[in-house]
Amino acid sequence: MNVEREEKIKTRREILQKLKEEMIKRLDLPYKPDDIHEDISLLGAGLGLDSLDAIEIVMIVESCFNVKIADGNTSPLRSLNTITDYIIAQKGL
Amino acid sequence: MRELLLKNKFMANGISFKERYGISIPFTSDNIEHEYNSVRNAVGLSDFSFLQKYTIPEDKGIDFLNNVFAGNVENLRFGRVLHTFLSDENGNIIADCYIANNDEEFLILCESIVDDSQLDKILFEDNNGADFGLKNITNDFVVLSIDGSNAWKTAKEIFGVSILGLPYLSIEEFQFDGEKINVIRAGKTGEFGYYVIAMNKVAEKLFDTALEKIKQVEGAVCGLDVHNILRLDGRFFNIFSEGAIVRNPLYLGLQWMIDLENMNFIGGQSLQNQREAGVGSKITGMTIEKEYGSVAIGDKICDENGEIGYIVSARHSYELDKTVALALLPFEKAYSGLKFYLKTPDGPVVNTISMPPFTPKSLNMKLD
Repeated sequence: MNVEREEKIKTRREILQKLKEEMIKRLDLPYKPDDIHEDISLLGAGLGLDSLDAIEIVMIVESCFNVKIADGNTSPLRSLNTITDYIIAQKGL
Repeated sequence: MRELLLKNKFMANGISFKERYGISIPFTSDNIEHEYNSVRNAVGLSDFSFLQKYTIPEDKGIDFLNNVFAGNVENLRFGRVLHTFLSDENGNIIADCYIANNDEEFLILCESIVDDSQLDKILFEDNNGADFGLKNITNDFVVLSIDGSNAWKTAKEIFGVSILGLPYLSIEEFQFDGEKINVIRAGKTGEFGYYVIAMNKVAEKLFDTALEKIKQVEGAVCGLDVHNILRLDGRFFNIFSEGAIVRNPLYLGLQWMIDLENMNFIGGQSLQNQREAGVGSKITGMTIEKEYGSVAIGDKICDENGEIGYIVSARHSYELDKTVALALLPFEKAYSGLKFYLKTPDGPVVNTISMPPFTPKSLNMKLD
């Protein structure tokens, strides 16, 4: 077993699970966490969320992970994976 | 083999043709990097007339569409477009589809991995499409695709400033040369994209006008092969690439195209059962440094102990200057930020990545 890889998987899995559960609950999405592929576009194509949903996602990231996404910084919001990258980078995980 | 109406126009602009699923499609120029950069930095004009096209009346069509396609058409408002798919009885994908609610009828555009006659058989013979008023209009219309970070400028030049208000996945009617034209804001490149759907009689004039306008913003005429790269590094589903290899929408991450509360469409029961049992694999993005050479479909992805998955799509991304690929990996290993190995456990390193791997220019573009 590659310990470093398993640690990275554990970190990402925990962040993604929390993000998905909160998004499903707060945005009333008709999915189970495993239904949402981490690379699917969140806004426009893919999940088709709108700008109000984007604000809710920013609030989820802040309340669940204590990480702020600055106004106008849309880059992390491309997919769940890019949000997770941002959280990992900001928290130095 | 189906020939496209604008073939000579595209050939005259340096595009060679190739057969794909019974259709002679505009494939590539001799400089695909130029085509790619035109879309990422300016605009590309492509012929999407290969799409199979149908209409069905709104009043009779809803039940048919909901029983055949995976998405929920019932809640599709006038002027909006649903992105969904058609699958077989086992839930394996056959066609990637846009369904537009357009003026008392639905317009259906399909990218399929079967030829025209096979798709007609599914829709008309197997599912009695004619009884619901389904009509095949494939040969009556052309579809030009205008894609790129400056595609909105070209669209504005042709159709006027009101097109800038067209939301993503919407359809609107415009006039061109005295004829009705439909424009769908769609596209699968990450940049602005417009499908222009026009009757054959104005097709050549529309092409000439669009060509003149794209040249004003240093755009290029494109084949369809460059869209295989643009879809891959923009992380849009491509039925002609990973879709044709994997086929299973749950492995492909296409759950968002399915109405999960009404899985009575063709293949829906099979997908429901698979979903309840749990999905074992999914596709994951990765990059491979270009010095490792070409990467082929089917190449193994390994960890230290041996094979764990395989490549289902791979192309050189000019934006990243490395190979971008999708691999089918076990669910428990399908995470971004990991290192695996290509072909053998001591082979070249591949890095799983978050997709899309860059922010397209269009995402931060302010329209004039």
